Amino acid sequence: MSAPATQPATTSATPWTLVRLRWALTNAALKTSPWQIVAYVLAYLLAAGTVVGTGVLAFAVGHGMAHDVWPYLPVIMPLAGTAGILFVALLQAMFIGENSTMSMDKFAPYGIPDRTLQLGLLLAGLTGIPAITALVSFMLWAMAYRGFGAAAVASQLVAAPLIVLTAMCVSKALLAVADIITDSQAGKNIFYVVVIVLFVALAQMPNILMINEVSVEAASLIPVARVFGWLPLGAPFMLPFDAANGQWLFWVLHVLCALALCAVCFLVSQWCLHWQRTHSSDAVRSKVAKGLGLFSRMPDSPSGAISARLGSLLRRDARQSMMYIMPLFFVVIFALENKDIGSWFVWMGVLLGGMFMSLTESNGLAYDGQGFVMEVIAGTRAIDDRTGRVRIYLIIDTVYIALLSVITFIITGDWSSPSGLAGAFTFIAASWGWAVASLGVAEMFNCSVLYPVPSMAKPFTNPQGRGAAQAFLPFLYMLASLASILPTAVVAIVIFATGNGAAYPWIIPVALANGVVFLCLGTWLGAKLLRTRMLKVVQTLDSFAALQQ
Amino acid sequence: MAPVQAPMPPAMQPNPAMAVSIRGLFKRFGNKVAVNGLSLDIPTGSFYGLVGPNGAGKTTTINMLTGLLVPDGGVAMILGHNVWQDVNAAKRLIGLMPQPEQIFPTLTGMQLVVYAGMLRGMPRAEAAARAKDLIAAFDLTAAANIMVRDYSAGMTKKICLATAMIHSPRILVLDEPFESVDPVSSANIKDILVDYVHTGGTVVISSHVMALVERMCTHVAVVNQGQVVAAGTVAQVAAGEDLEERFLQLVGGRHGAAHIAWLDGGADGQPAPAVPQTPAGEVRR
Repeated sequence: MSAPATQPATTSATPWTLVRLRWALTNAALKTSPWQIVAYVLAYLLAAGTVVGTGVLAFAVGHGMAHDVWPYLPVIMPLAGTAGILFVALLQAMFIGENSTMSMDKFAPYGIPDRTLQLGLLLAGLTGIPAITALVSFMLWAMAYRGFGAAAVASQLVAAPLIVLTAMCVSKALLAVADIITDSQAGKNIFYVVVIVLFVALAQMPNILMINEVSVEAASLIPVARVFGWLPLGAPFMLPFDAANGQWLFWVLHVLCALALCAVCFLVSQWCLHWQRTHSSDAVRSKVAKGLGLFSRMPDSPSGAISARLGSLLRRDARQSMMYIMPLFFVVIFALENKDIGSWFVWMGVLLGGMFMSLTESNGLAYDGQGFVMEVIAGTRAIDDRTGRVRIYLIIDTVYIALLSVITFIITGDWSSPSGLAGAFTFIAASWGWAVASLGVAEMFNCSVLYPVPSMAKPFTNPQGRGAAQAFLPFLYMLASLASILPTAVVAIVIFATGNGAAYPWIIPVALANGVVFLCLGTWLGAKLLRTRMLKVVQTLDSFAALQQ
Repeated sequence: MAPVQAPMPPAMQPNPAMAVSIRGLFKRFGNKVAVNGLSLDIPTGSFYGLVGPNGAGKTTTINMLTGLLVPDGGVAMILGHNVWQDVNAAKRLIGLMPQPEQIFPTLTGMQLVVYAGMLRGMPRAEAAARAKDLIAAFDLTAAANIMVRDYSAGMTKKICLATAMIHSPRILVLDEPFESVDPVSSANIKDILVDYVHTGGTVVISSHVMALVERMCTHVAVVNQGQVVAAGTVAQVAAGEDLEERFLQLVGGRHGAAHIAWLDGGADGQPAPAVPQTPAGEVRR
């Protein structure tokens, strides 16, 4: 696309303008809530920790403290590097996504040439904290090659920016392609779920292999590593070894290989941008839902209306559906990882699932978005809001845990013996207790600790500045969720520590009571908090909506 | 939650006989005073237009009046009820039209209106019956079972208005209700609102479209810099002139065309160069 004759010749400055815009938006996001500042500080600390950790490890490897590793480095680096870049790309799709404010369509009215715009967005990504952290870490990793000679060290310094650039280009291309192949809401939802399941599966793969004693001889990996070293994702990791071996032609070819991939990814992203602009979505069809749906099945009250509304929304919200994939996934992973441990290990999946089910509800008002204002306009009582929310989640959690338990019974076969049944029901009760206690905690969290979320229409996008908060605040909630099940945990520890293992079914009533008490407490306290903070929540949601624009 | 108030002199007391009575309403955001001691009476059964330039304080006033924003000072009274003494009681008397981004677009039109009714404590059957009537009145019957996210901007405005009317409030507060609505729908909505006013209801609309206010409203208040600069019947405020002209006289800010030299699309085929500025910000020529 050529610029019109009358367009000011500013295109060379445009990429840097986009970089400045990225940081201006990040700084603006800091002002949305004090929690954002806390999250940013933690994110910076995490980044500093990564850099320092990499530096220390590189120093240890490079100074011979771990020189046993040296012969394996040419095998490890291309394989681990390739996996790492793929992991980062999936992570981008899952959690970070293409930044909504910095997405291409936002700049469409300005007539910026595709290539310039693409370059600007790429540079904006490369100047972010994750990219800078990765760059510095990879540069420090050069110390690991000290034993390979000065040329290897210098080559790693060259490879570092190349690796980061490759990862960024691949991620951007993946998201651009994802955006055009999933142009219907259902397609987006499916893609979102698949990406996350793939991500968790990749993360768990080493565990599964180790536990199932799938051993791989290092020697057998050498030819695989050679192949990966010549593939574009592994190529930049080979530069130090090429330099160490004096194979400068290979060095140049590896650089070219990585650069070629970057160029292809750049062109793919650019083509996707062009395609999106020139093709209207054919998949958009009006959704028809006859009757009142859930509204006719919930109690005839304001809280019933809230339950119905929330239930209807949850069915169509890919962002929150993940929380109901995870528990099933846990069970499957734990079943795969279970080797001679016992069926209780699989039931642990059901137990942990209890905690995850309310993870998104801990930020539920942010997922509702500005629609929450309807309740404020109507003067809805805070307790009606909390009751309505709790009702629908209680139904979902109970049904889900019941179904998950059936699946787990089939996997473990625990239904066939009285002891198996007793153990299973202890886990089921503990899972339900934890799920509802966590729900109580979530009802306190979601009106006091909010963080921005992507919009429902664009689950892959990222409100500027969300990354840091999203990493930190769910963690805070999970800690509180852990604390909520402490009474049950203490009783379980006492039972087993005092040698009364046979009395473990007593955990069942304790867990159920624990869950109900924390649920009631959380609902009541949440209502009190919401009543006090209702208008503040509206203001916060308004500021989040501005970030999603 | 009610703002702390010193005792008011009698002249500053709100008038409980009015549909809306505001006295000395004040709101500051940081260093900016958005509403600066605004006082206003809106008679019951009036069709009241609230007009003013951007940033005049109209939306802030509406938000404080409807319980969405706590004022820093002053009193807002709805049909004799102090809004901030019992904010939820006041909200039950008001029908505030949500903005299109303040609804749930993945509900169908029917579900959304029923939701608004049930939130107000209406029995489901009655909410559903009223929703059906409102949807028919707004010509949305064919789209009743379609998700609101698939509605056009005008249809969305109409469904927002329906959610504000479902509980038959005595005061309707509508922020730019006719924006994006086609002329036919506008006329139909206007008929509904006029009918509503004839039953003793009060409509308060905020708008920038002076012609619309002049045509529809019985009363108008011009707000500028957080204060009411003129209020009364449309004829009183217009004072024998065209309302738009009168509005411009009251709020000022008009100036001659700027005649920006470079705004000629680059007549010679070249963009006009930017004028460099000195560090002090003075334009160098």
